[in-house]
Amino acid sequence: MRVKSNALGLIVLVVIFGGIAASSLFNMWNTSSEKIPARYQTGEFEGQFDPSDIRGSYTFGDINNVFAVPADTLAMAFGVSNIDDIDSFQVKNLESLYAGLKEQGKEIGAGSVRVFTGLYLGLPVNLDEEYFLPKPAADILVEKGNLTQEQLGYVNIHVVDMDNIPGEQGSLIEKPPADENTQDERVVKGTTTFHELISWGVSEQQVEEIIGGKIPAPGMTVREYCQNNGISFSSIKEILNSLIKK
Amino acid sequence: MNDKIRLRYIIQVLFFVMVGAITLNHSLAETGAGISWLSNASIHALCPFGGVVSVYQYFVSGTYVQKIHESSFILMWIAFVLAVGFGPVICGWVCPLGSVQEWVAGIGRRIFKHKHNNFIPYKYDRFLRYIRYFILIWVIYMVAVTSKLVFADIDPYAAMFHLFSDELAAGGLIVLAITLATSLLVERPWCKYACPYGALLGISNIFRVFKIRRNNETCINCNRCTDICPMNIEVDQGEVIRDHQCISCLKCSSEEACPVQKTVGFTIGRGGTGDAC
Repeated sequence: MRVKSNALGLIVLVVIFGGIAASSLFNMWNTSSEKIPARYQTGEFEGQFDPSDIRGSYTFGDINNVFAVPADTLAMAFGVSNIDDIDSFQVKNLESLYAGLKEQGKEIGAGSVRVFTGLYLGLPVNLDEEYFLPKPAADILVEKGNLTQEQLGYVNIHVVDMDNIPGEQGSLIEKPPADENTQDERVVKGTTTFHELISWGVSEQQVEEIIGGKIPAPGMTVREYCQNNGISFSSIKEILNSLIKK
Repeated sequence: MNDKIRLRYIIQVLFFVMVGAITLNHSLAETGAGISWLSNASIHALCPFGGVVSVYQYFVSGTYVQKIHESSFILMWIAFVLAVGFGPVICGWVCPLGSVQEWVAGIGRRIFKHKHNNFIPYKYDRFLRYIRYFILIWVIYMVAVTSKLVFADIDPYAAMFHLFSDELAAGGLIVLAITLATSLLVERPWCKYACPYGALLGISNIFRVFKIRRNNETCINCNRCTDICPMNIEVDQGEVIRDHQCISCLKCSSEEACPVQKTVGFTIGRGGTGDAC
């Protein structure tokens, strides 16, 4: 039996497009990730999602869904602001936001988010690679108190001061104001964390009484907590503002 | 151009335009300006080789290498099915990078005439053709170890479709430029010497169901089949072509180069004289 070129051409088209159509029919033709990371295969954390599998296409919202790290915390850690929908911010966009760092041989990108998420959750993290963290991210990790000495050393070596980022990083990066602790700034808003509240003089006990439960994590924003627990953020905000030591 | 062989050209253009449009739409979609009715898959989602390099991780952890999706796996299996039946038709009929090399080689043929595709002495060339197997092993090993698409940074195929994207890798662009420049001298230089996916699919030439066969009884020894072969295979020296470099383009067949009917063909039976389908 001999196959001529016209027949071969048709066979090629039928097999390729037929294969794609058939796989689509069975919902197997996916050209984008379902945002389900790998899990640890062994050890103490076996079965848990592994942050080292966070991809550049993941959004802050995806990370919140999978790892329960609030999107607001990620935004604050990586200095992302002035964006309408923080949840939809893709991790890979950090590289272009912090492109100015590349001149110094440093990179803040998906790898940094992997390291941050792992350390934030107290999960094993590969510290062999050189990923850098903005200072707010390092501060959050240190305040969480989950870090081992080795991890703390890594964070201290790989921290980048937001004021020393050369070039134009883009308008989405939120640099800390010159005087962060001015009294005018001590107002509870969407990005205010429990840690900030406590540093402004509201005791942990007071906060927990107002929110009606334990503070899950110092780095979590009050708004995120309210959303998760079905509490009105605006009413809590007013009470907390009245307690802040002016 | 022979009418029947023109179908291959049409299919090559079709896949080049289709992959180009989809990957361009991928870049547009990221800026919010994508075309809604057109797929916005990434180039990695449309590359069957992505499936190949992901096999190890898939079986070890049940996940894909970063940037690779189910579609890469589906395309990998489709390519394997075609290869078992007909050899590396993906290379000869579908791969946009192979097509572009062919089109650039058309300019080279006009410039260098018969010297084109014959610059490298056979005694060196025959060994250089195996480099792609080392690249294949290196890529599969490195992806298995790092779980990253290590090849993406030097991949001319990705670079070709990332020309207007911020994902364009300098290494890939350089390799693409070298590939296109050398295509003026040699037919499909990337396919012959460096393509790891071509290396893998090329193995199918040994056992593919349909093979290029030459009928010795009707052959007039004009050597046109050998002269036209873009991969420099000596078709006139054997009755069955099992060369790992064959891309099943059928240029050597009696439909195009061979002047004698039913002498060189793509057959299951002997000598290319079987009934046509």
